[in-house]
Amino acid sequence: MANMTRRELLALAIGGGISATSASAFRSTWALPKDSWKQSFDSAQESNPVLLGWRSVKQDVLTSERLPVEGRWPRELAGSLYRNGPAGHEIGGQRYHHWFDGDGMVQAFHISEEGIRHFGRFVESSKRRAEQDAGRMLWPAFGTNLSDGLPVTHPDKINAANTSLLHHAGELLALWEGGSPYRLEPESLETLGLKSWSSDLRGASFTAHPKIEPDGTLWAFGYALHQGLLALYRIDKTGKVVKTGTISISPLGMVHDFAVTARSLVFVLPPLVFDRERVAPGVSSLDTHVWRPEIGTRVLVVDKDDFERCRWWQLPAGFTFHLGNAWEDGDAVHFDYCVSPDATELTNTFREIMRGVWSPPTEPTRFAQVSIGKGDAVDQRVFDRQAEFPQVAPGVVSSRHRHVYSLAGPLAERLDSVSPGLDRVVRWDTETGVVDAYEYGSGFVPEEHIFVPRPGSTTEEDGWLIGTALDLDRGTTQLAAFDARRIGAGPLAVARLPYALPLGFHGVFVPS
Amino acid sequence: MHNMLIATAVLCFGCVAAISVMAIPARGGDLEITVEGIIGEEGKVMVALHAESDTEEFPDVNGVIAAQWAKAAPGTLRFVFLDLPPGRFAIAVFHDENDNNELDTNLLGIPSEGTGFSKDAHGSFGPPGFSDAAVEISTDSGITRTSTTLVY
Repeated sequence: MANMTRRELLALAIGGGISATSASAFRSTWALPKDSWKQSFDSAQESNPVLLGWRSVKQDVLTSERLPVEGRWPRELAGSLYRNGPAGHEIGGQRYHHWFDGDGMVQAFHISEEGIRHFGRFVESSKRRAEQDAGRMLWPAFGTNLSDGLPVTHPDKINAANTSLLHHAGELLALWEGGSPYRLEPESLETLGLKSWSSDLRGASFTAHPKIEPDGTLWAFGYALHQGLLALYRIDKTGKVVKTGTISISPLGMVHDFAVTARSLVFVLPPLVFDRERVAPGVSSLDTHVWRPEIGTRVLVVDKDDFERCRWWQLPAGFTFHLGNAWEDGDAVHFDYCVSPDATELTNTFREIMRGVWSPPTEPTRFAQVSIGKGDAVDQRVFDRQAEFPQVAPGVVSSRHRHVYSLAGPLAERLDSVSPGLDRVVRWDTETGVVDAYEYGSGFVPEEHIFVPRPGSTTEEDGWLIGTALDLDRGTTQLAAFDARRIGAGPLAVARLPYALPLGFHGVFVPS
Repeated sequence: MHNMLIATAVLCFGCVAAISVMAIPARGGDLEITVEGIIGEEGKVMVALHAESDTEEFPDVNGVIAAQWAKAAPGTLRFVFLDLPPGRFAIAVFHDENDNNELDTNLLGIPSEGTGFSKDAHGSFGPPGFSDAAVEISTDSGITRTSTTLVY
């Protein structure tokens, strides 16, 4: 015991800097009544094979040695492809109500001269551990309400670690976006614990889309809806935090991705914004958001050297998950992104799929290029083709690029009524408008494909595109490699797994 | 266990001094809080007693009427506030791991040190309200016990 000074008493004002809510503490009373989502999904699966991609994985580990390979796998394309995605969609017979909620499972494809081997393992997040031990869901998730759920006392309590991976400064990290990254052992995929970059960043939200510049500098961000803050992180190539800062934004909503130029950080903020009035115990993060198209989409450009120098532009209201790349040319900032007229894919489509209902969004997500210049001038060109998961060669991140790799759909066609329309992998030549595409066809659901530069590569196309696809006829997942210069020629080689993996989100290739 | 006993003994002695400065209108009782789930032995565990005077801003310094601390010890520590008047009280606790006398937060304002509240109350994305953590001390009630498990 000691006498407390005024300063110490002030320190005891726990919650300083935290916005209090009227949420009350909930005592959990069990058992939670099970709803009909699992039953609906299971019965719909019999008539719609695409739902194979949303099955819940029951095993903690999936492994397969020496996958059969058709074609000639490029000898220089060696290393490990790590992918992440929600795979634990059900706990104790209860199914999540949103695709984004399930526990993350990392799928590793280890590629060497001896062949290709698959090893998949769940991230052992504290959330997963607690819920597996309890045999039931304990907390609301990103898109699932849980009225009898425990209070979310810290964002990492509900960290599903299910969105992407980062390989930086020798560490492999599983990323979510609302909380900390999880450190993984690259071979065993054993979960080593939460990543804390610095005391300032401990437990802080960390995007699933950090950007690594060619010199190894890592840019990332986080956000806190209750505080209305966007936080920016600059981390050097050794993993040391060298600059942080926050920007107050009102209203603020979830922010999934950004882009970097040589001088700036570029954010696209759709008008899906957090509404404090919707916060209540058990309510999911998604349901605290409201679509307010009258706000329009805001583009925020932040000076890398001075986070207080913010420039704002307006775009017509639209929703976006992903940006491609950005670059500057005098006063003009150019970027590409994938945009849809509203957020119904997030708020409706990705919910309904969890009970086996394909409920397409009002319009597909399209590839678009934006140029913003002096004053209010904004030029947006939206292509008439569905696209998602855009990316550029790592060597051109933050500088002018010509080629964008992505998944795409058929030209100028509406989404069909039974499945996602992203049926091909493409390279967009943004200067000529020419699209080099390989069409998987309706029997496949391709996932994100990653550009891997050929060792010593100096151009944006000198390398391979590598990615997985769900083969609906075989009921299995495959891994394909393409020559990035000739995607339309079809895969150079295809490796087949003996089982299907749930559809995931993002990954990273670590060359050997 | 040894550490816990020492902490309790020392704290009780200290409490008398802290509480003696208050005007006590009527005899109520003692309030004991068991702080569980302490991780590590770095720094100290700080405990603040709040009266019902300013429930809107709980946990706010304006509501703090007495405070104690003890060196952190893994597991459990027990603190007692002696001779409280009848009324409603709530306790806020944090583990000052780096010994800087402040509740550290990350850039986004989220505590980066362990926190807890009487009745093991929790808020969602913030502290609980006073009434969620409030413990009633009635006239001649002897020892009233509550507990919290720190959330890191």
